[in-house]
This record gives sequence, structure tokens and C-alpha cells, in this order.
Amino acid sequence: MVKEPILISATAHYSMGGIPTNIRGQVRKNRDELVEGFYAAGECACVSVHGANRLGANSVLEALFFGRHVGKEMVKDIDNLDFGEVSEADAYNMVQEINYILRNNGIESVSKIRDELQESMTENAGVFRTEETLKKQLEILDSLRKRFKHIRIEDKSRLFNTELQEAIELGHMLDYAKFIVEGALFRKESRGSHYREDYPKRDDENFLKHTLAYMDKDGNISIETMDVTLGKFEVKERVY
Amino acid sequence: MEKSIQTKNITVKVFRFNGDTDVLPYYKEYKLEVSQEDVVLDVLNRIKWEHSGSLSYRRSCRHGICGSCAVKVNNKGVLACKERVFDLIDLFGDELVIDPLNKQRVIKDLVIDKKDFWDKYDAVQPYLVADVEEEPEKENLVTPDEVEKIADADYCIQCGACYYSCPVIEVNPEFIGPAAFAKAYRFTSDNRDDAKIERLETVSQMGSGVWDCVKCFECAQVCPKDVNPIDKITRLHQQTFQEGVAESNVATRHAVGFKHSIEQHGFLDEGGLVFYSEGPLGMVQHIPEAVNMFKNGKIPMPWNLPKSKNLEEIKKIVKISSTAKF
Amino acid sequence: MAKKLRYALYTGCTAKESTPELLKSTLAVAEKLGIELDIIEEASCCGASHLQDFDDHLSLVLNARNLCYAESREAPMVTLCNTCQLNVSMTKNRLDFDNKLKDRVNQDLSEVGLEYKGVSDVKHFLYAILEDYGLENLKKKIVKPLKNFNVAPFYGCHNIRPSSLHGKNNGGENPYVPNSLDQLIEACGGKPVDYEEKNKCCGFHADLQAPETANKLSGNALTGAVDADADFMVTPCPLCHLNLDVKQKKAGEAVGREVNIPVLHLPQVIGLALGIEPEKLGLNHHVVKAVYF
Repeated sequence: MVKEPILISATAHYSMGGIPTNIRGQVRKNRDELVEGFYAAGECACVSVHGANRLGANSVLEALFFGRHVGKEMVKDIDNLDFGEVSEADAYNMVQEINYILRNNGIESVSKIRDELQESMTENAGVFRTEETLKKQLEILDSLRKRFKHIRIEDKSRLFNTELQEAIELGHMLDYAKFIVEGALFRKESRGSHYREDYPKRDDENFLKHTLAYMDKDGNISIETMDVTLGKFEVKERVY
Repeated sequence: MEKSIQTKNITVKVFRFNGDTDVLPYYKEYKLEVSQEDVVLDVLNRIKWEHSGSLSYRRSCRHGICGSCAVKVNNKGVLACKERVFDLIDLFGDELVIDPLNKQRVIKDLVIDKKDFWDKYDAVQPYLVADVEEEPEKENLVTPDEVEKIADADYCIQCGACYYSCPVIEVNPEFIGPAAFAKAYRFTSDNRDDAKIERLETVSQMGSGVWDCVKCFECAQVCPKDVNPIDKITRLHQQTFQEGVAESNVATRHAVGFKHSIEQHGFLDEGGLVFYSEGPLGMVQHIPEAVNMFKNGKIPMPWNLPKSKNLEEIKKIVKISSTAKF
Repeated sequence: MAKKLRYALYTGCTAKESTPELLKSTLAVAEKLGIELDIIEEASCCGASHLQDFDDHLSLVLNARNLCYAESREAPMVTLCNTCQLNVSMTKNRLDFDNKLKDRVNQDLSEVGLEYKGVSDVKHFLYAILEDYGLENLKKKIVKPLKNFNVAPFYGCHNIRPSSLHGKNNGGENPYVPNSLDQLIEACGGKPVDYEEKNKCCGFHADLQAPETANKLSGNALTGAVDADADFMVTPCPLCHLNLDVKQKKAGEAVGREVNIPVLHLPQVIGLALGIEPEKLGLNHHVVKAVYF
């Protein structure tokens, strides 16, 4: 038998959590309110059908069922919805985000920051994490976010600019990473695919709750919780 | 025996063109060390991330199911995320030239406008046409035998490697092309589908349909998902006869003429076959060549036509083994 | 060579009719090289991939029958035409991998007292020379090397694609960078020229219904060879030959060029290098005469 090494690496297969919605796909603004006219479905959404860990192949429920179901709900609502008000300032922010990346003349490379983000997140905020690794990751994130302000891209064109797209995505990944790390720090227990080596037990008394996280303009995260509606199944440990 | 990961040094020439700023396309050369694990997409990513961020190409899933990243390497259509660089080095040596699937349709670098591909794909109604209940109480049964008919046609990921390798597409822009034919077959062979006849009528149009295929097998060779489009094209031909969609024209008579010729002579009566296919009027266009052929001893006299030995046996086979009617 | 090579020769239709020079030259070369060719006179047409469009089962049974006559001669089958090679080997491949299908075909064959067993290989004459006879052995017999000739190899589709079917019997020829003809041209003393269309399609199978397509494809191949400074082209396929030789004028017109380039069959090129007289190789049958010989 010939033995040959093959390269393996971790890959993101699915994201637990996401944009919080109710069962009709309406996006939650907070515990009690909805954002009018804003719907989410599929893997970006969190209807909370899976709990803290999705079982293999079960994203079909999100992708197929909720895609169809939420679409139908939107059709029901659409006649009663008005366009929201948009200011020039809103549009300006979006144009600014793009122009900043296009015009910024820094020294940092998008792919290098992204590599460091991916590697450090796997290392410090993967399935197994502790307060120590998570705090360390917060520092790393802060430094990466600072460096992101000094990126420079080669492609300045408006034509099929995938380098611009990658840079915008990296900015969002840096935000999203912070949600993941702060959420994990907050949850001092182990549940589903979140395993805190410093808190290896599930703690229903304090944490049988959804985490709702908010980011302010300066990138600071605040956390709220929301009650879990339990269905006909009791919460159990996954033992296989 | 334990082996370590091998690496090789190669030169990669990549087609570059930005319609916004460039007057002419050019090739940019990159020197890279590649490992046995690398696929073409790894090479493109490394060029983009380490050498030239502006290099543009389509890619998405990275594991051979989305069909975005097809390009040509040394003129061979490949799915970038599936094709191993070492295999290409075996074929072409250590200088690889990466091109877009079609240079005339370039938007930027390796990104092409696939509108022609998608238009033709749409023309065959690439979806199930069936009167299915909105909320059915049980599944629409398809038996394993019926699934087998659809065969590998369902694996197509619309990467366009076959379409942009098809020589007919290069000279006849109307030709529907292998990918859409394979997709048409995927539904004409689905027992739940109600648009079989309509689809067969679309794909048997002269000038754009299956009869304009030159049977070069480029599509079967290039397909990264082993869809074998030419096999589906052949089956579509057969279905047009089975479903009574085939009209009498030079192409259908030509196919059917083989049977008659074989039944009469075993071997073909080549002249007779052309006459049977074209009819007396159509024959006129072949006169100049026929004269040339005759002068050079390329047309046997009727009394010298080759006939197979054991012709009775062939006649009997044609009688008992025929399964198609026209 | 240790053993005398012996094959059951499946001539196909074209070598018996519109390219009689192919059969002539094949037999002359085989005789010179001491290869025994036993012609399968019982054979029928292979269907040329057109009968296959109409009646798949009939074409399978007919080609299985063709193979039976190679089997009864206890010899591998050798073909002279790329399309015969494709259709016969495709039949063989399907029957050898599908017992149910083989039984069904054999049921029909039993009506005429035949049975397909799957014991004879099928290979094109090109690869019989290259793989079985061997280039080194051939080189020893070359007496009139084709020195100073630039030769454009034209491979034809059905010998090289799909490689998954042909790989076993064409020495693993790579359809993107084929080199068997190039090697043979070199062995015969000629200089193979490289051009983009050498592994492309001549369009033959759409000749009747889509002549513009066929003529353009043939035209591209012809002008590709001319622009690569070829003195003549060589092809292992009589159908390509018909399009490139008999239809050369129309093909040239289709791409807006006047072309005049002789196209030789593979065995004619080998025959010339072996010192066989051009007459015996049927060069007089060509529409575009190979004036050099």
C-alpha cells in the first residue's frame, strides 16, 4: 500500500445563528420588535429551528422549506407595506464604503488580513474555546480592524472588480468575527457546537436563552438575551 | 512507502484584458511553485492574492458543483477547481497558458459573457414542466429504472466547458450546443415531464438542433462531470424517431437510409445513400464533386458495388433486430 | 519481430468505394511489412454513427456481428476508418460491460447461428503499426525517406475522442496533444508540422444537412496546414480524407481562401517511404494530386 500525505483543513460548513427572524422570516429588531419589510431566509437567517447545533443535512430545512415559506409570507405582506424612507446620507454611506476601498492608498493586503483572520479564528474561537483564547482573539480582531483601514487594492476599475468585492467582504467578516467572539465570551457554559473548556457543562438556568448581539458605530458589541420557545422536545445532550 | 508532498516550478501565462482600460489583450507571466495538491483554481487564487489583485475570474463553490470557474488551459477546457496542475504539467509541460473559455466574449481577464450559453439553455426549458399539486400528499414516484434513463445528464453544472469547446458553435452561432441538449434530454427522459414533444421539436430544428452536430466528441472529452453530452444528443435523435417528431428531411433520411442500404448490400451504397437522403433536386449540388470522384475512380459502377458475403444473414438481422420505424 | 502479425481486416465501406486507394495502399503496406490481413468479407457497414441515431439496437447487433467474424478468425480486428473504429469499439465496450445487453444482442445473433464473445480487440491500422509492429521495426524498412517534406498530421476525431473509450487501443493517445501520426511521419523521414486544427473536426458527419458548417471546419483545417508550411496532409480517416480532398475547393471557398494541398492516407505515406510505387498506393485516385511522387 502506498501512503501519501494529503492536505486537510478546516472549512466552514454551516453557521449556527445568523440574522434573527420569526417563523414568517421577518427580521427581529430586538426581543420585541420587528424591522418592517425586512425578511431573511436560508443559511443567513436564524429562525432557531436547530438550537445550538444543526444536525447533518438539516440545512435543507433552511434552504428549501424556509425559502419557499418566507417567499409566500412576503407575498401576503407586500400590499400592506410602504417603501421605507431613504435619505441621501444612507446612500452616501454605502458609496463611501466602496470609494474608501477603491481610493485608500495603504500598505495592507486584503488576502493577508483575511488569512490571519481565518487562522486566528480557527485557533482561538473554533469549537473549543476558553475565556483566555477568546480575549486574545478580541485583541487580534482589534488590531486586524485597525489594519483593515490601511488596505490598498490594485484593481480600481468598475468592471467585474472581484478584488473590491473581496475587500468589502473582509470588512464584513471582521465585524461578524467580533459577534462570534463576544457571543462566545458571554456564554459561560457549553452547548451544541460551542464548547467552553473552562465551562464544560450546560447551564440551563443561566443560558437556556438566545443571544442577541448589537454592534454600534464604533464597533462595540452589546448583548441581550431572549427566551427560548421550547417545542415538544426537551433540551438534551447530543451523545453520538 | 511514505512519500512527501511533491512540488514543481512552473511558468503560468494568464490572459489579461480589462475592457475599461486596455486596447488589446495581453499575456502576463507568473513563476510559481506548485504542489501535487494544487488545482488550477489554487494557482489563480495565488496569483490574485500574492501577485496581482486585479486578476479577475469567476469562482464560487471551490468543489466542482457550481460551474463558475471553467477556463481553458493550453486550449483544454477545465473546471479550475477540479483540474490538478500536476496532471496538466504531465500533458503540456511546465509552461501553462490560462485562457478564458472564449476570447471573443471576454468581459475582463478570464471572465466571459455567457449570455449566448444561457439563452440557448433557456430555449430548451431547463426545468420540469408538470402539473404537480402545490402541496402533494405523496411523492411523484420515479423508479430506479426510470432514473437510469436520465443517466448522467443530471450532473451538468452549466460550466460551459463543452459549449465553448464545440467546433459547431464557432462556425454556427445558432447551434444550441451540447450542454443545452444534455439538459433537454434530462427532461425528455423524465417520466414526470409533460413537455417532451415540445422540447424534441426545439432540439430537432434544422440549423440549430441536434442534426447540426458534427459528432466530434469534444463535449464528451472535455466535460468535467462526465455528462457525456454527445451520448445524450444521440439519444435525442432516437427519441425524435420514437416520438414521431422526426420530419422527413435530408438528415433524417440519411440516418434511416443507412438501414436500407445495409439491408440491400451489407455495405453502403454511398451514391445511393446520398440520392436517398437528398432526393433528385438536392443531388444537383453534388454534381461537381461527383464528376471529380468519377474521373478519379472513386465511384464504382452499379455492377461493381461491393456486397457483403452472407448478405442473407444481414437481411435477417435487419429484419429481427430493427426497433425503430420511420 | 518474433511473431508474424495477423489481423481480421474490417475495411468499412469507404475503403471499398470512394477511397479505393486506402484499401489498395493498406494491403500493399501490409504485404511489404509481412503483416497478414484477412479481410472480413462478411462484414456490414458499422452505421457510421448515423444508423445509431435511428436505431441503436440494430446498430449494436450489426457491429456485434462484425466482431463475431473477427472472433471466428481468432484474430484482433483492425480498422481503416476512425468512424468504424469508434462505432465497433463503442459496441464492444458496451457489450463487454453490460451482460444483460450482451445477452439481448446474442439472442438476436443466435438466429443466424452467431455468438458475440468479446475475445477480439479492435484497433485502428495506425495503432497496429505503432503499437504492435513498432516504430523501430518500421524505421528499419524505410528505403525512401520522405526527406525535405513538411507533413501536416490530421488526426480525425473518432480515433482520439473520447479517450476513455480509445485509451486501451490507441496507446493512451492524448486527444489534446496527440503525437502518434507525428511519430509515424518522423519515422518515415518527414517533418511533422504543428498547427492548431490537427486534432479538430473536419465536419464530415454534418456534410449533407449542414454543408456550411462542414466546409468551414474543413477549410480551417486545410488553411491551418497550409499556413504551417505543409507540403501535404496525412490522415488515418477516409471520411476526413473525403472532406479534405474531394471537397477541398468548397472548403477553401467557405473560409475565403483558394487551397491546393494534397492529402494522403496514412498507409500511402508509409508505403511511399517503404519504396512502394505511387501507382500501387492509388495516388492517382486523389482529386488534388500529390505531384511530388
